[in-house]
Amino acid sequence: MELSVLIGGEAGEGVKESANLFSRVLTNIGYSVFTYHDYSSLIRGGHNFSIVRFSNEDVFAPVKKVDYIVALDSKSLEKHRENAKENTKWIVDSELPGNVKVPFRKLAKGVKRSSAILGALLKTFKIPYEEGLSVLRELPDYQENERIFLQAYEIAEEIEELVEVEGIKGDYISGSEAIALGAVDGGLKIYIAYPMTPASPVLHFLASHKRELGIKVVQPENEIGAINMVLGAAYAGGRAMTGTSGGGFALMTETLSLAGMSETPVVIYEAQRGAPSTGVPTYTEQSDLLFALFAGHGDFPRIVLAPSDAKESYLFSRKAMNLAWKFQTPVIILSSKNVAESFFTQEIKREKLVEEPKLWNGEGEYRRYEITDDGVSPLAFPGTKGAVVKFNSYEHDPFGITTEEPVEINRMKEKRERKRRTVEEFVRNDKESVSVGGDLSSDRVILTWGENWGVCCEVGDELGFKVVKPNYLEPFPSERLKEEIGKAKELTVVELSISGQFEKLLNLYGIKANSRFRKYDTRPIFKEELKEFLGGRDGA
Amino acid sequence: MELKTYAENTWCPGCGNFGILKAFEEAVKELSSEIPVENFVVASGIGCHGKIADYLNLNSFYSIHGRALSNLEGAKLIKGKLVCVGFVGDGDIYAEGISHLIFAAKRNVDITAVVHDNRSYSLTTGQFTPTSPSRFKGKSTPEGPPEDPMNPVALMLSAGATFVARGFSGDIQHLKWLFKEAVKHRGFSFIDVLQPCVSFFNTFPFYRKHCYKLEDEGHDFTDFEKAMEKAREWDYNRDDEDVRIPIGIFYKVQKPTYEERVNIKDSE
Ligand code: SF4
Repeated sequence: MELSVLIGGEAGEGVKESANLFSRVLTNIGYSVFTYHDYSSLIRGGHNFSIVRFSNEDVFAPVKKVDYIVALDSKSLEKHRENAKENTKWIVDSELPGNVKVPFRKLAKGVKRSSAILGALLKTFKIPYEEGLSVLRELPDYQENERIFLQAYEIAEEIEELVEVEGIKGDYISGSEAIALGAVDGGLKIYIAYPMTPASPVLHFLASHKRELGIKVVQPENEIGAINMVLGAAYAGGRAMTGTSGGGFALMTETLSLAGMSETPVVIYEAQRGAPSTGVPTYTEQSDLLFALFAGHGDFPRIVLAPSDAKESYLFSRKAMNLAWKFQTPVIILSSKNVAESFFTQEIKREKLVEEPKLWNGEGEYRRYEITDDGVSPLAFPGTKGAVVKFNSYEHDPFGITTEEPVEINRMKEKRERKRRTVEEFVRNDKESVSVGGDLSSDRVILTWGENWGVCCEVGDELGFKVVKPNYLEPFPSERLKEEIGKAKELTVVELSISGQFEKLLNLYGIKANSRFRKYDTRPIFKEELKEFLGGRDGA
Repeated sequence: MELKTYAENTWCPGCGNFGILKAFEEAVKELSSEIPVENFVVASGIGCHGKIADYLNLNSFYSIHGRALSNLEGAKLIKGKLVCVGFVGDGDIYAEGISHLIFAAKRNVDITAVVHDNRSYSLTTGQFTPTSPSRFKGKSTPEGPPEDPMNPVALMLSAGATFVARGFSGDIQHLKWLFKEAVKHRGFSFIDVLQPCVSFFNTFPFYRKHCYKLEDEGHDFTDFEKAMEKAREWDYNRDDEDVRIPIGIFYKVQKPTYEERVNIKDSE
C-alpha cells in the first residue's frame, strides 16, 4: 500500500504544519513517510504546498501524482491539476468545487488551520481521532487546536481504509534536525551561524534546544564573523560548527584557507539551494559541488561528505565533527534543500561518539606544527600550563613562528600533503565511503549523489538498475566506485546541475557515463520523471 | 619571565610598534601575579602590526586581515578564563574588519582590542587607510585621499564599547597602564594606539607636541557625553598648531558581557 496527499494553500495558513502533524500521526501508527515542502521566498500569501507520501514499506522520495489533494484556495485547485490522477480525491474548502467539502477557513484562522486539515485527513483514512490528539498535544494552545481538530473530524468523510502495520519504522525527522543532533553527538559545543535558507533550520533547532543539548548557539554579524568565531572556538579547544548555503559559503572561503593553513578543525554545513547568486532561495540544486571541492586558495586537505537523507545527515554530521578533529582540517557537509527541509521516517539511534583527537603528551616544548609521519601534529590548547600554542595563517615553522625559508616551507607543505594522504588512506578504508542500492545484480548502473539517492533506489528497484553513490566527494572514493560499477553495460549519471558538475568529477577520475539525467528547475526529482526517463531506455 | 621568542624582529628601526610591544610585555609581567601567563591569548591581523604574534612567547592566533577579533570572540565563548587581546591594524580592523569591530563592541565581548593606528598601509608599502588624513600622500592616492578620515574613538563610543581609550606608542609607561586597565576591564576594551610609522608616515614629532593626558585634566570617564566631547576634540584630519590630542581613558562603564549573556554555563 502506498498513498500520497498534497496539501496546498497560502503561506501562513498552516500548510506545512498540517503536513507535519499528519505525517507524525502516520509515523506513530507505523508507516514510513516522506514529506516534501514546497514554498516560495515570502512570508504571507503566495502559494505553498506539501506532499506527504506514505507506505507500509520504506519511502524516500517525492512523487508528482498524488491520490488526495487538500485545497484551501482556488489557486490550489488551479495549480495542482497537474498533480491529480484520474481518480484523485479533492478535499476542499467549502467554497470550492471538490469531492469532500470542509469549511477549513471558517473553522480556524492562520496556522491553526493545520488542526482542521489534520482532523479532515484522519477521518478520510479512518484513523482514530485519539491519534491526532496525541500529536496536537505538542502544540501551544492545545484546547483551541483540539476543538478545531474535532470539528473538522466530525465534518469530513471516511473514504479509505489503510492497511494495518505493526511496530514503528522510526522517527519523523528532517535532514536539518538530524544534522543538528549528529553534530551534538559528535561533541559540538557551540553552533555559530548567520541565517541563510535552507541551512537556517539547523540554527533554529539548536537554538530552541540548546539547554537540553548543553550547547551554545550564536548568531554573529555575518558569515565571515561566524566561521572565524568557529576557528577561535576550535583554537580554544571547543568543537564548533557553522552552517550556511552557497552564498554564505562564498564569503567563508577566505577563512577556509586560514583553517587549512592553521590546521584548525572546522565543520561547515553547506545546504545547497538554487544558484548562482541569490538564485532560487527556497528550492534545491546540486550546483555548489565543484565550488565546495575547490573553494579556498592554496593546497590543503579537506573532506567533503554528502548525506542523502535524515539518517545519513545524522551519521555524517557526527562523523564530520570527529574527522575535523582527527585531521585538524576543514570538513564540509554538503547537503541540499530537499534533504535539509524534507522529513523522513527513519530510525536514528542516537549515540554520543566523540573520538579523542591526537593530543600533546605534555613533554618538552610544545610545537603546534610538529613534523610527523602522518602529517597530523598533536594538539594543545591555550590555558595549558607549560604550553605556548601558536596558530598561524602565515607559513610557519613547527613552533608556529612565521617563516619564508624555502627549506622550512617545503617541510611544512610536505607535512600537510602527508596529512592529505593520511585522509585519503582513511577514506579508502572506510566501508561507508560508497553506498549501493537498487537492483544489486543489474549491469545497468545509476551513479548519483546526495538527495537523489532515495528516488534512484526506488526506481532502480522497480526497473532493474543498480545505484551507486559516493558518500565522500573529497577525498573521492574512485577505486570503490569503480569496483561497484564493475563491468556495467550502461552507466547513467543523475544529478541536479545543468552543466553536469558531478559527471565532470567522475570524468576526472576516469569514469565515463553513456547517459545522463540532469534536472535544474530547482525542484527535486519526482519519482515518475526518473522512471519515465529510465523506462524509455533499452531493456527497461 | 621571558616573553621574547627567537623570531627575528623585522620592524623598521624606530617604528612605533616597538613601543606597543614593550608596553604590552611589561603589562603582562606586572599582571602575571593575578593572571597565569598560559591564560593569555593574543591574536593579530595582517600588516606590520601582525608580526607581534611572532614576537610574543604567548599563546597566539596569527590570523588574517580584519578577522582576529572574531577568532578571539570564539575562543572566549569556549573558555571564559582566557584573557584575550587582539592586536589589529587601522587598515586591518577599520576597513576590512569594521563590522567585526563594531559588533564586538556592541556585544561587549570580554576581549581587548589594541589598534596599531599608524594611519598607513605600511606592509603593502604605503596606501591610505580609514584614519589617514587628507594630507597623507599615499602610493594609491598621490594627491591625498579623496575622503576624510574616520574617528574611531567616537565610532567605538557609539557602538557601545564599555572601555574606550587612546594611547601613544611614544609614551610606553602610559600605554602600559592603559593595557593593564583594559585587560582588567570586564567587557569590550578598545584602545586606539597612535603608532607612528617611521617609513611611510612619521607622526612622532606631531604627537609628541600635541598629545595630553585626560587624567591630568580630571576627565570623568563615567560620563558618556563628556567622553564623546573629548573624542571629538581632535578630528583625525587636523594637523594645525592648535590641535590638542587627548590620550587616556575616555569612557569606562560596567555592563554584562556577551559571554555572560550567551553562556548557559561556561565550559569550564
Ligand atoms: S613600515 Fe612602518 S609600521 Fe611597518 S615596520 Fe616599518 S615603520 Fe613600522
